[in-house]
Amino acid sequence: MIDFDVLLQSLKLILHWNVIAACFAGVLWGMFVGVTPGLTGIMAVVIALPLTFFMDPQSAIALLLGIYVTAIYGGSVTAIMIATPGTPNAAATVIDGYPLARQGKARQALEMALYASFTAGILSTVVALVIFPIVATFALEFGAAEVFAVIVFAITIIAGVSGDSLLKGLIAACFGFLIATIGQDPIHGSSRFTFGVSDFQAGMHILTLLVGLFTIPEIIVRGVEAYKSRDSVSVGDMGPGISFRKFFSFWPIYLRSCAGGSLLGALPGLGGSPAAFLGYFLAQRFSKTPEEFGNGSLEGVAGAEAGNNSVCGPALVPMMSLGIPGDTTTAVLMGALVIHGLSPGPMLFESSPDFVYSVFLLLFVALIFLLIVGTGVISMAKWVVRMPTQILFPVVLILATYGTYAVRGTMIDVLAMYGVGFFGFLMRTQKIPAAPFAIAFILGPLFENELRKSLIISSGSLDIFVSSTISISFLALAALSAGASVYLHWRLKGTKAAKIISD
Amino acid sequence: MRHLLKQGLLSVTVMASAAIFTAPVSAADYPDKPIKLVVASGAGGSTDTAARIMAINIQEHIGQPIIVVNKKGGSGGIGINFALKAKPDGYLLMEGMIGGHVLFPAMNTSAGYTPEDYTPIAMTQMNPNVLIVRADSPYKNVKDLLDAIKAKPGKLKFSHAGAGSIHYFGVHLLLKTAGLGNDSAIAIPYKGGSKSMAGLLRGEADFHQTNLVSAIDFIESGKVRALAVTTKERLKAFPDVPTYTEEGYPNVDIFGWRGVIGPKDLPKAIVDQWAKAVQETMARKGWKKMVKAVGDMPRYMGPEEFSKHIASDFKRYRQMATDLDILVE
Repeated sequence: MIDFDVLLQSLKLILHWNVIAACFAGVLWGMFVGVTPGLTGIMAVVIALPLTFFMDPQSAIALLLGIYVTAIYGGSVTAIMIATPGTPNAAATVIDGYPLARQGKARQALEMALYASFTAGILSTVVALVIFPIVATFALEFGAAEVFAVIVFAITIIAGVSGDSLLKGLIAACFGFLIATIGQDPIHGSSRFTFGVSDFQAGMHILTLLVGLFTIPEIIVRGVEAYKSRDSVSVGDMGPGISFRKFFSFWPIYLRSCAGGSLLGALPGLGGSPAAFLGYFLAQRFSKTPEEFGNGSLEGVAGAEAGNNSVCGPALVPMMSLGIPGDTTTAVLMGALVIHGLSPGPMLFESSPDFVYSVFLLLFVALIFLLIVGTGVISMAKWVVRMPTQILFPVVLILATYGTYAVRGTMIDVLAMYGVGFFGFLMRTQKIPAAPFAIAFILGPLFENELRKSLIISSGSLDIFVSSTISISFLALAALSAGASVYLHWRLKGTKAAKIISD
Repeated sequence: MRHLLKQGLLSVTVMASAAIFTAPVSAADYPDKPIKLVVASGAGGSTDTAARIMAINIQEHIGQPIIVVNKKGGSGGIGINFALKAKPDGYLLMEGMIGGHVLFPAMNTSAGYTPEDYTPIAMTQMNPNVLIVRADSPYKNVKDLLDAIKAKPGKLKFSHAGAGSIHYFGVHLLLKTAGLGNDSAIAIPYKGGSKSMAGLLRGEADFHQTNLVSAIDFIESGKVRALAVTTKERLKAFPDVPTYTEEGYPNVDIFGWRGVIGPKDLPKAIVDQWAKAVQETMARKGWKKMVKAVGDMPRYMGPEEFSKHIASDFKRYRQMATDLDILVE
């Protein structure tokens, strides 16, 4: 499995002050970008890319990995503090993180997110390190039909974040699927629902949707509240931190999120957001207190954050072993490797195994730096909770507007964000949950693309979906998960109705 | 601060020398502020990397920092339409690419532009294509493959990086040259070149034509077999792989290119200034090394030659799109 001689050699490669310093710089920069709405992890990496042209390969990759790992975590800080996912990866963290902050438990939520990210990051990197030699063939086992089955399974997560009413969750999901069809047809390239606006050709950006869906309705609701009470409200308190015992008691969550996140990470094209939702879903499904999810559950934060950070290590595996990047950020990393003459692909592990190992070791280093810098950021978050509403929310509104504009530099995105925001507010008045909307939006295009591709490959025959053990297993899991959700909702409804009657 | 000072000094010297040596008054003080280079595809892709390599190397020769701006989506159409709206003052240029600048408008009449709407400045690099099959495939050469397609039309599949990609046009060019219909082989679309390569490796597709750079590693490791390259002569790196010309299809000479392109009516003085700077940049060792590392072949074409090349490419692929009935209106 692991060749320890090579591992030692690769340790020598990274134990240089400039490599370590580059990694630390990457973590600092990644944190800044992560907590700034509108600056995504991919932008952070791209801005740093030209710098790496003139570094040695180890320092270059150290810098980029530092950014990669930290930006995924950094998005959760704003998600928890101001209901604004700093990066798309943090969409699932808002659901429980923000209610926790509102309840004066911001410190617990932030620490939970940080420690879960760190733990799952370490676990999944170990997984990646161990499976690297065998995974090259594994990733190829997942064809269009298999990836489709995984996505169908992931879509059943919608039931988990639907709140009290499955029907309303499904309504929200339909909105998500519909909005996701805006833009270019994935197969034929023709325009759909762009209404002649050329900027819509690329579809709606995920951050536009997330900010509109989560941040704007929150600002409207809080604004009205503050206006009515004519009082300057602030949460005022960070609350106590999380105890080691409590952190440790969630170990099954880290393991489950790590398993789910590692799987999704190793499959090309899925990325961190679905992994976060999968982690959240798994945490809820196995929780003793599933009813707390959505109202401020630490387990929800742990599941989501462990899920998205589990992607990093495994996503590097298909990139380095096959030359197939798992997401856009790993694509940039690949570009950086290529510039340095280390062309990822089947030959890389044979020609420079020490380099391959050193990449994973650098991930560990980056995670340790993340822990240090993250702790610093948490101690600064108290300024946010002390800020009175009439100052905080205008600031958030500016950040949200600027952030949406910054992603692609078009005003149409800002308009769309406010459109979605207003729509999100209407949904909220009808108690239609926002999270299923977001998941459907993320998974919809993948679902469509893989479904249509599978059917082209099979010349229209549905047999392709039951022709491999992998796809059969995931479709069965999906059916099981959907069935269980319907049953649970039905039972939960029963108890509630019973309660109302007995009252 | 020191960096800024240096940058300032540099631009002052460049401005001064420009003022002395160039005749037209309008461009005399060009450039006196940073220049944006629009990349009409995603950050981290091969075009983006090419643009960043150019940006960082050409700064000294043009005398101002170059800022790379990514505007992706719509097969490159979004970024290019955005860049074409800019004033032709030389402060906003594009990284040219065959996909967005030629293939997309060739197959899409509502793209919003054709090569007549932009000003080609200089080609910087090219990338030949290669036809590949899996190592365990029964097809040993181009003839085998085409015979198999002829024998059972509509059965064999090829993977490509989306309708309008060079992978897509390349295979259609081959089929057309061989006298086969456009549905004689089934096109399976993937999001991007690397995923379409994975589709071939996985067995979802029977053959694939792609940029040489994407295939090198897989050819060397013996996972795929190269059947033909689109260059006129055999490649030094693969002396055993025949050219399409040798195989009897000299028309299949499709290759990707990159370069610098400006908006319509860009003043000739600026075009020439850039062409010269590009030529100087291409002579730099650092530039050559980086471009070769990403797998492209340095290839310079000046404004006139580049314009002619683009015009003939466009004419050819528009005709092909019409013939194949894949023209989107």
